[in-house]
Order: sequence, then structure tokens, then C-alpha cells
Amino acid sequence: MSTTKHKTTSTERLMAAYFRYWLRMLAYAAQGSRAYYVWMGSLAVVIVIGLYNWVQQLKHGFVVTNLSDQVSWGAYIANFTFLVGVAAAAVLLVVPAYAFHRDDVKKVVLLGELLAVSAIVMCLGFVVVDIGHPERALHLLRLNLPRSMLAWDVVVLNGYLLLNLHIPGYLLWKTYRGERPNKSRYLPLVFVSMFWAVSIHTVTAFLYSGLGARPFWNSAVLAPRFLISAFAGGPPILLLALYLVRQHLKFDISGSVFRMLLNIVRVMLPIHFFLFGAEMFTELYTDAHHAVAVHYLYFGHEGANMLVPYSWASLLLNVFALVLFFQKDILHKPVWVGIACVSLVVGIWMEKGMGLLIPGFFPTPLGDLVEYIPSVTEFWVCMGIWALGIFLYSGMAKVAVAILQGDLRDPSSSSAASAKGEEEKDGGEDA
Amino acid sequence: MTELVKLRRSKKHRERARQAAQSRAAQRDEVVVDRALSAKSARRGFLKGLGVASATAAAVGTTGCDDGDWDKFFQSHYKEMNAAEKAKVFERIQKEQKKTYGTDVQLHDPPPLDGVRFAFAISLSRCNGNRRCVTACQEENNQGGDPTIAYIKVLEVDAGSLLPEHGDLYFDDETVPQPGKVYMPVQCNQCDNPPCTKACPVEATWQEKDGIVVVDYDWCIGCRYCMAACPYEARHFNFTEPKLNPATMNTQQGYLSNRPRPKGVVEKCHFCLHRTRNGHYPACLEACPTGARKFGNILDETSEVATVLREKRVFVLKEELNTIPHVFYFFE
Amino acid sequence: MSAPLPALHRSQALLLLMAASMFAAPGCGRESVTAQHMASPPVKRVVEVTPRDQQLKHFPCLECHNKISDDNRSGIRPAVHRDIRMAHFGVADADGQVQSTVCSTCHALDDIEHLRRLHEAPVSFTDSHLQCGQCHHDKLRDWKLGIHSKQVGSWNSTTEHRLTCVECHDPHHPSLQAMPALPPPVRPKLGVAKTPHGGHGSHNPHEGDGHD
Repeated sequence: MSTTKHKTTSTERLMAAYFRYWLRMLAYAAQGSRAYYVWMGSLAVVIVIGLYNWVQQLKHGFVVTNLSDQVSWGAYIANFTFLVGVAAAAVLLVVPAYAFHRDDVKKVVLLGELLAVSAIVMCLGFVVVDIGHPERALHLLRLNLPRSMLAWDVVVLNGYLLLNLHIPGYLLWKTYRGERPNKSRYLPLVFVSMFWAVSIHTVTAFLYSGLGARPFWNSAVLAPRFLISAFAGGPPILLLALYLVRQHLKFDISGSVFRMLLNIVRVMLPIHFFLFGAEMFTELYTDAHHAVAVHYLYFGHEGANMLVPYSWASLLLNVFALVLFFQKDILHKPVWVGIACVSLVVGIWMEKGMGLLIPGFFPTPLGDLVEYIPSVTEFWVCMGIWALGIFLYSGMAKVAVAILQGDLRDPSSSSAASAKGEEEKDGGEDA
Repeated sequence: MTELVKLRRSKKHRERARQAAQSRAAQRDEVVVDRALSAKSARRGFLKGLGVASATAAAVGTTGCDDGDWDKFFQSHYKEMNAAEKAKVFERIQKEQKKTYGTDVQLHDPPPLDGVRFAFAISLSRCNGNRRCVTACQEENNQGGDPTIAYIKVLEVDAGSLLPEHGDLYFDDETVPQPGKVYMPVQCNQCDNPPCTKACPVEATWQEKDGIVVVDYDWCIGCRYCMAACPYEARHFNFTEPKLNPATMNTQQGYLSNRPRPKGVVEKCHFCLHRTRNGHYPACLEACPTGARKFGNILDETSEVATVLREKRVFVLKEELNTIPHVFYFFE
Repeated sequence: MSAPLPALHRSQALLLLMAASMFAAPGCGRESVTAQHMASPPVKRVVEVTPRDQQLKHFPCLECHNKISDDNRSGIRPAVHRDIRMAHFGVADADGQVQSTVCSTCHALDDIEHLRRLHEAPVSFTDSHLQCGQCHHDKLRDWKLGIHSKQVGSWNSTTEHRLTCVECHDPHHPSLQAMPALPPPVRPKLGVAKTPHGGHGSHNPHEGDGHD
């Protein structure tokens, strides 16, 4: 700390306290129980393996992947697409908390926003590993707006990241300091983030559905399908994450939050199936040339059938999850909730990831038939990024819970003593 | 309902116990945090992090960065470079090629000609699928091998269908033409409403005044969105650093056309602009043994292509997509 | 040097987001590039062809034909012309016999260094296209327009050098023979450059070692 003679101004003191806050948060995240070390350590190992494989890709070029001119996007963009949906699904906690004033959800909404941060970081990670020249990322400062949907995606994703870094960041900082947050500093942005969440997934859908060259994607229903599948597949992730937070970080999350998420799935999943059915009808009933992609997915086409078991598995997982989620007392059986959540997340991940990407490239616009599954390098890079996201979320959730529960407070702040009670009061009155 | 109440009550007991343990743990954590903040462990952690970061940087560094990369990093977009900057860039590229291949290269940057809009007209009566255009293009444009890129795809379609989706790209006949087949070469159509230039997030590809859609290989970030957007599969990605044979390299190069491209960028047919902007025919047309290709300035009424459009019934591929392509197909 | 566009501020991005739908429509407000400048004035083109006489194996014809007397005409083709395979306008007659044109359809023995035409004056070998065009008038028309031919040289010169009929079509055996096709491209099998060991997949002359 500074040892100059002049009196430190309040700004300087604040900045010093903020700097110390970050150090304390990092230190807090770096310490924990043995189980925590094992968890974070294994994730770190996977991250390093992913990093190594990415370096191989940088060195040798994309020949280490299974991509080709015909299938030019694969596992990376598949995961990216799914994760944008996960990030958008944070809005399912934000809206009840702030628009419908549900205090039980308000307690956990920061965890949802931090999940959105992790998801966006993973999305950005997948984009970075997917482009041929990541060192030219600064070229993105010369965005081709307003015509390029990918340029819009860059804007909205980064904007959403900033929103979801600011809102929890500000609230956690204020809680850490034991001070009341200033509503004008975050509440308007909360409402912006509600619309922004919808926009990130819509823009991502538009970058697919705007391409006339790819009839499988060039469908009006793609954007609604994206959003609905995000709202069906996002709550299970939230359910799992919040459940783990409650168990391992000892954070009190009311059962009503879980019930709300369950009910969201009960509404969204049937709509998801309806839209899926609508798409299938349009393709298969008309049976035009465009239906080849759907045939390839579910029935195989001219001997190419690598994705057939994959597509049916995805459908069955979703149906299985649907059945489970509609069980009356499922919330009393956490194991079954876990199974249902995992089943739905995996099912939607399969459908929205590879199940969306690959048929867009099969057949190609000139009728070429080339299949794709990820290579070993791609697999490990994907695992590395997923591990990075989970790693980040684990650390952030641990710190956030500590701050929210009053275990981490600014010792230099004047209201540090009454901090614990302050947080509940804040939560109740900030409506 | 009562079950829920019972569950809640026992839950409350458990929660209270948990909270007690929590506050003890919290106190422990506070001590731990403060200890962690103390010089030693913070420094250790920091150094560890620094070590990992530098290891990563070293790993990335082994991907082969050198001096030229620094200039490349700060290189502007082609459309924003003035003549002096372009000269510097061309010099750098020529030096790089001298170093890598030992060849003396002439790197040009011919501007589009006024009053010119290039177009191709291909006679499907005469194309017999011999693929000499494909090879000539590869030789003209310094394509590497294995994997190799071919700007031109020749499709063998059954007579009676003109749908490229029903074409066979991999026909391997002993002799051509085979009876009952029509052969259709497909390459970049240099569209007037190109979906690819719309898609590119950094405007690394754009349409020039003479209609040619070009790529600035030093600006392209390799996201491959343009490849997804192109309805003619006309855009190709460099999956590796191309392996070129110095003895057979084409040393007459254009910055936006046939200079060797690095890995990780997209490239495509550019109507041999380093030739055509100087009045020559593209390499594919010169190689065609049946004279099926017609090329010229569609704005000049007396040119071959304008004549074809006037005298023959022409069609374009995927007209319904409104890309306004400028490769026309006709029968004689 | 003009700097690249500055990074968008959040507010600007938001504003742009709201205005996006109005401008993102394809082609909206966008002129065709080619409309920006006027069409160039028509180029008066002169068609030139390669003089043919020097390309003929046995020219000048009179060297031999001056020595052949009228009495020696037996209808049997002399050895010097025996390599000519007649298969021009092959049509089967009532007996299934394929008829072809005969020498005298195009060559007049009393004017051997020209090609004879039905109703018009004979033409030199250099202008043989005018003779082919008697029957193949549609092809001649296309040839004159520049459609049916192979241009060589430059697309924007005032002189167009075109190949004549006989430079692609053997006049005695005109239909283009089938030719071997160059090999097809490699179909990617789960990625590119996955050729089997030995690298036989790529037929490119610049074949390097496959990536491993």
C-alpha cells in the first residue's frame, strides 16, 4: 500500500479497497476443501489438455480437425450455438426476480447471471478456437455492420457479457462493502438484459436462418426453435447448478425456485416438441429436395448414416425427460430430477449442436455428401473449454455465495459489522 | 401436503446444523483468506499463474511467429491502405517468398478497369468434362497439394436435369463426354448480390467495381461464415500451409488473387484478375480444349459474353436466391 | 493512413441494434456495383484467323496435282492422302451403309488450291470456315458472333483472333473425339488430407507428404 505523506482521498481509498476486493476474491476462490481442490484440479488438467490441443491446431492448421470445405463448421460452432442458449436462459431467473418481484428467485439471480457469464466466456472461447486467425481478432473492430449477422453476434454477445459482469459485479461489490446498492446503477440494465438475452439467441439464430444457401437452416421457425430450446434446456442446467451450489456451497436456496424452474420446463418442452414437429412436417410432407437433410439425420441418405443413431438418441432423451419432468412428485426425488435434467440437457445439446450444424452441410449446395464427426483434437479442445467454463463458474459461485452469505466482507468498510443482516434487507426492498 | 411439511421441518433442522457449521467454516475461511493475502502465498500463486501464462505464451510462440508477423498484425485493411503502405506490404510478401521458396516474384495490384463488368458464359453443349480448366487454374493460382484446393468444380449431370444438386462431382470416366450426360463447371459466380460479402463480419471480402468479389487474405480471420453463405460452394479454406513447388510456382502474382495464401484463410476464384485486368483471358478459358468458355466485359455490347446473352438462351444457377450471378450457362 | 473504425460503445451498439432491422434487408439501398459507371462504348472488332496454308502438310497442292493428268484418275486415293479418314456427315442410307461426303464435295480437281462452294466463288484454305458455313450456317453465324469458337489473345482488343473450324475439327472427320478426363477431386472422409498412407488420394502434381 502507498506510504506517501499525502492524505489518501476517498476515491483512492475506494480504489484500494476494490483492488483488495479482487485479490480477496481470487484468494478465496483459490482455497477450499479437499473435494474442491480435486474438482478444480481435474478441471484444470482438462483445460491444459485442451490448450495443448489448440496449440497443435494453431501450429498445423485446421487439418487436425475433421472439417472440410463441405462441412466447414463442426463441433466448435455446435457447442457455441448451444451455449448461447444457456446464456440466454439466465433471463428465466432475471424476469421472475425483477419483473415479478419473486424474492426467492432474487436471492439466486446472481448465480444465474454468473452462469450466463461462464456460458458467454465459453461461447467466446469456442469462437476463438474456431477461427483460422485468432490473432486477427482485432480486425473485428472494423465490424461489417449492419449487414453481417456474425458482426451483430459479436456485438450482442460482448454486450451481454458486459451486462452480466456489471450487474452481479456491482451487487456483489455493494454487498461485500455492506452498502445499499444504488438502484439506478443496475436496475435499468437488468431490464435491458431481459431483452438482450432474447436478442443474443435471436441473432445467433438469424446467422443461420438468413443463409439462402442452406435450406435446412433457412427456415422462419429456426429463431423460435432456438429460443424455446434454450428455455427448455437452460432450466435443467440451472437446476443442476443451483442444486450443486446448495449442496456443496451450503447456500440456502428455497425449494420454490426449483419448482419454478421445473414449471418453466413443463411449459417450454412441449412447445419445443411442437416446433420440432412443425419443422419435420414441413420438410417430410413436402418431400422436396430440401428434405434430404432431414432424411439424412433420421433415416440416412445414400449410405451415409452416421448421425442416425445420434438423432434418434437425442429425440428419445428429450421424450424421456419430458415424461420425467411431468411426474407429479419428482422434486422429492432429487436423483430423478438429476437424471431428467441431464437427459434433457444432453438431448437438447445433441439436437441443437451437431444435429443442427451437420445437416446444414449435408447435402452441400452442389449435392456433395460429406459426413463429419469431431476429431480427437477437436474433442479435447471442446472439453478444455467446457472445463474452463465450469472452472470459472465454480470459482465465481463459491465467491458469490460467500459474499452473499456474509462470509466475505470488506473489513475496512464501516458497515461491515451489520453486513449479514443488510443483505436480506436489501434483497427484500430492492424490488 | 403433509409430506411436504414434514420434509420442510426436517429440512429446517438440517439447515440449522448446516448454518452453524457454515459460520464456523466462514470464520475459518476469513482467516484463510487473510493468510492467503499475506505476501508468501499470494506471491506463490501469482508466480504459479505467471509460470502457466508464460508457458502458454511460449507454446503459442512455437507456432512460428517471426518479425513479419508484427507488421502483419498492424496491417490495415486493403481498402484503407495508401500506395506507400501497399508498396511496403508487397515488398514484405515478395521477401517472404524469396525466403521460403527462393523465387523472385512480381506482385501486382492491378486496379479494376473503368466501364468493365466481367462475366463468364459457358457452353454446356461443348463442355465435355475433361477438367483441364481445373488443373490450369490450380497451376495458375499457386495451389498447394494434399489437401489441394480447386476453384472449379465440374459436375456431371444426367441430361434432363440441370440441377447442380443432382450432379456428380467425382465422376471418373475413362473418356468424356459420356452419353446422356451434361457437364457443368461451377466456380465463383462473382454475384452482384453476394451472400458472402454480406456474411463476412470483418469485410475481408467485398465486390470490386469490375464485379470481381475479392478476398484480402491478410485481413480474413478464417471464421468461414462466407463458406456457409455461398450457394455455389465457391469458397475454400486453407486447412494447412500450402506446400508449393518452387520450380512450378507462378511468379506473376496479384495481391488479391494468386499469391500464396497462408493457412487459416478463405480463398476463391477471382477471375484471374492479375491477368484479366491486364487484358488477358483467365487460365481456365485458355486451357479449355473445346472452347466452351467465353469471357469478357458484359457492358461492352460487342463482347462475346454480351453477344451470348443476347443471342442465346442463358440461365444461371440458383436464380431464385437472387444472388445475380455472372456466370451464365447456355446451349448452342 | 486512416485508422480502422473505432470500437462501438455499448450505447452505440444498442442504437444500432434497434436500427438494424431497417438496414439489414439484403440489397436494401444497395445499388449494383456495375450501375456505378457507364457502359463502355462498343468496340469495333476485327476478326482475324491464322493463315492456314502454311499449316497444311501437303501444300502447295499444285506441286503434285500439276503432274497428274486427267487420264490417271482411277478413283483410288493415292498413298499421300491415304491417312485421311472420311467420316464427315455420316448418315446411314436405306441399306444401312454409312454415307460420307466425298473428296469432290469440297475439293475441285481443276482448282485444287481452293475449296469449292456450291453457288459462290471458291475460297482459300484460310477462309475454310466460309465453306463449312454453307451447310453449318448456324455454326458459322455463331462463329461470326464469337459464340462458337475459341478466342485466343485478349478479351479487350479491337482485333479478335479466333480459331477457325479446322483448328478444332478435322474437316474430314469433324466430330470431336472423346478425350480422357483428368482425375476427380478427393472426397474428404472425415476431414481433408485423410488420404491413405502413400498419398494416392491427391492427384495434384504438387503432392506433398500427408499431414500426420
